[in-house]
Amino acid sequence: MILESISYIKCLPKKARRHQKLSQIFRNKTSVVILFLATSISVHGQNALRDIPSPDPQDQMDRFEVAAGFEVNLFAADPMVVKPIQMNWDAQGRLWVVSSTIYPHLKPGETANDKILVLEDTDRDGIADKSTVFAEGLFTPTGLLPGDGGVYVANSTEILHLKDTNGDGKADETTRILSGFGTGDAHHLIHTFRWGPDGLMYFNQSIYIYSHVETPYGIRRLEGGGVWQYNTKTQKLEVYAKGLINPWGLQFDKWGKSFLTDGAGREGINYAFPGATFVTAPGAERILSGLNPGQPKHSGLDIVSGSHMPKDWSGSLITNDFRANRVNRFVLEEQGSGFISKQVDDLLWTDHIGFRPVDILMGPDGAIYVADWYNPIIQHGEVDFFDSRRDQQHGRIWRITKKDSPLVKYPELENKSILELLEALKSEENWERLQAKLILKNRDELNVTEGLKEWVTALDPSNPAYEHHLLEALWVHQAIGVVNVPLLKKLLTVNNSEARAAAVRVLVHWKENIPETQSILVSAVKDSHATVRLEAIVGLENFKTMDATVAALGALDQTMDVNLDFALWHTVSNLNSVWLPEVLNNPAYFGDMGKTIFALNTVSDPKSTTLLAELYSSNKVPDKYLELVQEKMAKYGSSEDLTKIYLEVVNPTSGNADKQLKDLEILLQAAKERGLEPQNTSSQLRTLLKSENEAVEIKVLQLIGLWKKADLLDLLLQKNKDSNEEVRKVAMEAMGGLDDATSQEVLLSMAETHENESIRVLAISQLVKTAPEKAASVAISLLTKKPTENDIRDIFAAFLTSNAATDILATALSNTVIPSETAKVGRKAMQELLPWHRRNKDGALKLKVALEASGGVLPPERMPQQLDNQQIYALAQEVKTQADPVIGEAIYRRQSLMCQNCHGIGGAGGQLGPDLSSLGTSLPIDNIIKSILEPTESIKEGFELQKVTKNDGGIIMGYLVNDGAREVVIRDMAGNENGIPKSQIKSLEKVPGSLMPAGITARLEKHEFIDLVGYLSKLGSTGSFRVTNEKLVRRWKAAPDFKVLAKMTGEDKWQNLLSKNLNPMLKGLYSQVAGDLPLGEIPLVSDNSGQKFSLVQFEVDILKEGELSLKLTGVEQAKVWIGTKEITLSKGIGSAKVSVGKQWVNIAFAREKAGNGSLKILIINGKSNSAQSQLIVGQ
Amino acid sequence: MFFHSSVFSQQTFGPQDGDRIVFLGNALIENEQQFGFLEYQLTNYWPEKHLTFRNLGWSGDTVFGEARSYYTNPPGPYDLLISQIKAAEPDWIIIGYGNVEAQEGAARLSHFKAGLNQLLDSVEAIGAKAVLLSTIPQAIAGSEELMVKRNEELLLYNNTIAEISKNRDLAFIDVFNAFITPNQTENYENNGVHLNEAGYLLFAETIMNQLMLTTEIPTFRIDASTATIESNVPVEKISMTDKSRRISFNSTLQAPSKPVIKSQLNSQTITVGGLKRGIYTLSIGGKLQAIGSRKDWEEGVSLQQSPSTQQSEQLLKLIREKDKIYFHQYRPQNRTYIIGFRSYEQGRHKEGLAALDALIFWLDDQINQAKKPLTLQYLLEQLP
Repeated sequence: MILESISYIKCLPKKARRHQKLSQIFRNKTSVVILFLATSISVHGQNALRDIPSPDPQDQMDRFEVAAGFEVNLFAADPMVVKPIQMNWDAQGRLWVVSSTIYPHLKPGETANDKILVLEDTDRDGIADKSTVFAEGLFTPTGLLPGDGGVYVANSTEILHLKDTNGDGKADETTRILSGFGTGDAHHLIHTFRWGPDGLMYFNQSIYIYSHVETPYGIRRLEGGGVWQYNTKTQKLEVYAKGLINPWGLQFDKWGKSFLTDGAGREGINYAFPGATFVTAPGAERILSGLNPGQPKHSGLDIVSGSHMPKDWSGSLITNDFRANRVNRFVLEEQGSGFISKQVDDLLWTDHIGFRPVDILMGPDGAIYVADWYNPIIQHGEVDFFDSRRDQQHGRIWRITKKDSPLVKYPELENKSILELLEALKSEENWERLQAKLILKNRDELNVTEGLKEWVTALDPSNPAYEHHLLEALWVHQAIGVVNVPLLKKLLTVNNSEARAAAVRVLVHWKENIPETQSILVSAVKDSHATVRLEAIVGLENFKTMDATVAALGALDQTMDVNLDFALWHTVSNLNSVWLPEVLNNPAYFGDMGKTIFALNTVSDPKSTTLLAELYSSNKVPDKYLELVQEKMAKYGSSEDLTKIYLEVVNPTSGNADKQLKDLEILLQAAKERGLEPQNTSSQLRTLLKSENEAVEIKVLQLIGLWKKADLLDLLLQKNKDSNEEVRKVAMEAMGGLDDATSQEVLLSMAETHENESIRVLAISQLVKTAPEKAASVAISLLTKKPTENDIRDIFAAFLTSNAATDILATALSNTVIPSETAKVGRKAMQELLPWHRRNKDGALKLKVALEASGGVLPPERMPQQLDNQQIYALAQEVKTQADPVIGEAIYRRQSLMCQNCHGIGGAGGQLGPDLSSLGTSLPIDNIIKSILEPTESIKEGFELQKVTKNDGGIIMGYLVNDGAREVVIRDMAGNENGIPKSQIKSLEKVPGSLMPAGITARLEKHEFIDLVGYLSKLGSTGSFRVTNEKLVRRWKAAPDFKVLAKMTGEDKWQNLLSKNLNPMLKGLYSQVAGDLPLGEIPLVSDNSGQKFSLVQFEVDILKEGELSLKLTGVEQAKVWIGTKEITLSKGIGSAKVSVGKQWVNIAFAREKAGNGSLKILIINGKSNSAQSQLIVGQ
Repeated sequence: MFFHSSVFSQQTFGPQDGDRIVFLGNALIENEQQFGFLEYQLTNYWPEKHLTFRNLGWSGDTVFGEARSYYTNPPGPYDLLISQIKAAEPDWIIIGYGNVEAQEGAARLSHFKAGLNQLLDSVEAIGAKAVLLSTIPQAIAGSEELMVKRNEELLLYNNTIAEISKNRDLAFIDVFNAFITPNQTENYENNGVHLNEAGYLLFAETIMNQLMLTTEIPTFRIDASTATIESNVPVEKISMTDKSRRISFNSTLQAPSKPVIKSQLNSQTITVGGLKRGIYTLSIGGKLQAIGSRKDWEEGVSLQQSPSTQQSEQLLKLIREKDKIYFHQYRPQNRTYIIGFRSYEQGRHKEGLAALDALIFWLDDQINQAKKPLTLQYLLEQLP
């Protein structure tokens, strides 16, 4: 605390400085008083930075925009409700709210006194008129759930059940229910408590929370994000789903399907089923994705139901985009065993940055209630915990109703009889059904069972909702803990597939009580509907038998999809102790090669890899599994396994030329990453090198180097004379790899005397690896002779690859003067090539000094990069008053700044850094400036830099994509994902720092910097800098002016190109925030008659077949092909029938007629037979 | 001070003045800090020694430190465990592991054994002396079958803990059997895994008994007719005046050996024989504590509130307060940002955590002050 306030001293007003002195006087005395003094000073310290909207609710109200036909009113505000974090209704229609004023962090010496508030609208006029403090003295409570005669509360490490036994409205009895939850991050603590329709309690935790809970059934651990499931009757605690960065929203639909939203992820709605695992789950080998890639981050979730809301809204998902101050809505459509999710128009939005919707719920009156945490600041780690702009005193609950639609009458469930409560299960209001069930859960078990019998018998089978009523009855049985096999079996055979699927889940829950569970699951895997098969596959994991394995694999006989594939993979993997010995003994055991390969792929046992290698090298692997098996061979194949593949390379039996290349790649990867070599290689390599295929030739050369085949040096020297530059380079690299005395001598003499300068450079680059001192001395003599700029760069690049080599070059250089031009190029190379974490190492510093001594001084920064808080504040004011965000956007898009290489907008763009779509509404201007100038000071969760140290000492830096049981996937600086087997990893370490280089804006003029920040600070706010939920194409590929293309004549020939694989040559382009692509940024291509054309493409994933319609604007007379099929445009609109799978859409147009505007393409939905599609975003 | 002497305590556990005692283990240890009974009884046993205590228990933890995993790695969980022990600077370390490990059954017993030995090696290397606790039984386990299995496994692991302590010449305290009682669940939270208030009192007492660190509740038997006082605590300056209508003496008292909690009062009793007819009041240190007839005093009056029970309450309050603040310090919320790998963002708040030392040391001192014996005057007077 004390040091903190000192660091602020520069910007303290005078009065505060006096306090500061005072506190320094006290510093040496150990006293509690000091702590409080220092705290109050830091509050003064940032007063100057205050720029927050008026907290008057009316001000907020005036600035709300609501969907047509709806209105919003204030249900409750401070002081009745303060800092709401989560809310839930009880059966009496009271709204329980959990509130924390110490969030995000307890000040040293402060005592927490957080509260549970109960809001009541006693006169039912839609405005709360009573607020009671039910409990206080809590410590950062982040979740609550009324039920079982009291309320469950998340209280840091524990869950309490608080009860009011004397009816005075205040808790007087506390029972600890569970404990051992992690506290590594206050905004990830256990939260979002909800009842499932099964009467079980569900709650979430997020990425930095590691929980270890001791329960009567044994220890339960959940490391990282996920969803817990707790049976309050039996005290059984289980992990329901795993992963996500900040799983926030959690809700169940009327059939018990569960959905999650992520407050820090970017995939919108996530569909979860038992065992579902998402991004970031530690140790997960397979993960599922969300349904809306590239969507904003969401908090809270509910599912619309009931008579007050429009009929066609029923079943849609409502959730909050708290960064952009909006309430979003999504519509789901069933697809296989999962869903397609589509964002529709927003329900509520505002430009008032204090509006932070954190929870959303349908209320007992059928209206939608939104808990508004109210805060101009939302960051957790990035902004100081005690930053004075953090609001600690306000809070609101807003209520959204449909105009001219009657509200739902409160059902007054409390005193109803069992039969009346059962009748309430027929309600179309999700709220009423759930509350009735929760009351029944606490009524006498026998009476409820009797009542259920009567109620079920009296149900009308001709009622369209009959099967849902049966399911509700089954759920009541589950909630009260009374097994009902006949009802269960009845539901397993009903027509409605969702009811059958829900019944399978109940069956699995009762597996200990129903002996025939396994045999029922075995038949359920054959169900005609994918969603039932999914539940059955998940359930079979509990049975360690061959029957269960064979039945689960039977799912492969029907159509698979991502969820089924995930579930089957897990089940089969978990049952491996049962089937693996059998299959190793008899590879034909499953009677189906596809099933065998699928199963073998799920395990990491070396014997299974060997069997796969046998099957692979004898060409028995079905095509659809080839890629998987090839990857496995490269990563896990043993030397013996690789020998089989090698023999297939030298004596191909498959006749598939591509396969030979693939096999070579497997051998290369195994050699590079694991130093493995097949047995008895050498002589055949000479034969292979004679291949006509250049790609084969290159790979063989690489293998010669990696395998250190010194006896083939003669071949390398011969190839070195090759006219093809690439072959020459590879041959030289291979020579460097040989590492024997003869080849070293050859390399050295080439480096010293070769007539071709570029060969000298290549030789030096190779020598750096084995003889850096020699390389340095040759390099310097070459550098003094003014080589070409490219060659200088290449020389420096070679020495900059390791700190040791950098140091050696620096030492050598410090005694020599090289031409200043050369030294300048060297300095530039250092700036571009040295990773940030090595910039301050001795070698780098020494090299800088040495280069500067030779005149290698870079021009001074134009935009100063070292600013103190006061200067940043002043700059922020200039941004507010002077910035032109339109110019700022153009600066952002400049190639030289490389912003788009790492950041996406609307999901389109690089994936190395966070998506910036709502940056402006989530980060204050001064923080934006700071994070550009000092990127390492401000890292979003999920963008922590990781350092992988391999067993061989190699280090890989990048972002963690997935930390699985067998391998760690890292996204490297180039944005590529690399899987590194765990067996090769010595340590995986998170290190402070950012891949975003500091000083990236040093070359900008100050006014340009201001415009850039102005643009960034507008991102997400209402207007032209917001990514709307229209389906606009944002990620493009464009053809460069390439030789092959120049051979074409006229635009009509473009279609000939479509069949060619142009992908590697294409240039990635991204739309502006408004969704348009400036024509000036699209490369021009000339054909052989000198005409200028452009060809751009975008990719779309068709989820459901139908008509794909699009609207193109900004270019006249464009030609459009969906796949290879040309479509005709009328007024820019055209469509074609498409089938499921990824498709490229190609657009070609002549530039003469195109003008200088921008191209925009919108995917149109809405026709009855329209296809369901998802635009592919990302890099 | 004849009634408190370390000669009675086992050779294997005898803290010196200034010693630091650390509690380490799973939730059995972590939850103890909600009550503080064990610390209370231990510190109170040696009122003349300045002793300090730190609780390093962690729900779900094992001898491998498994529950100490978190997003920041390194340090790995075990390294973190060792660094936490080192930072607590223990002279003594009372270790309660095994309840979680035992769930892995006989098959993993040798794994546990190796782990505990490894941990004890580390403890030894730091120079701290270990005292090993057994596990406690599980009272509820989902099904009867599972419960039998669990308790068999727990006993199996207890044997190993006992064996290791024997081999290493360490004190071993078997608390298991104390919890096998007819109304077993009375000592447990609803989950049948964790102890409640009564359970922790029993836990502390069991440990004190086995360490042979027991003390009697003070009693006074006064014979007014002979002007003698029989007591198990020192008594001095006895005076009887006004024909035995006014009896006074001084006694040195400290907080009761067992903490005073609602469900269990363990107050001192005063019996006075040979009084004349009448109503007598008893004041201690000038404050009226009891009133009774001659007959009442003859039968013995139990003092529900007295300066020593107030002292007891104060001592417990301070212990709990200190434990709470220490918990926030060594296991703070947001540690990912303060001491974890994101400390480049909020690392400045490390200062705030370090500043808690001032509070913790101050409370340590308050605790050691609060347990000091008081010499008070007892005065029995007949009402006029």
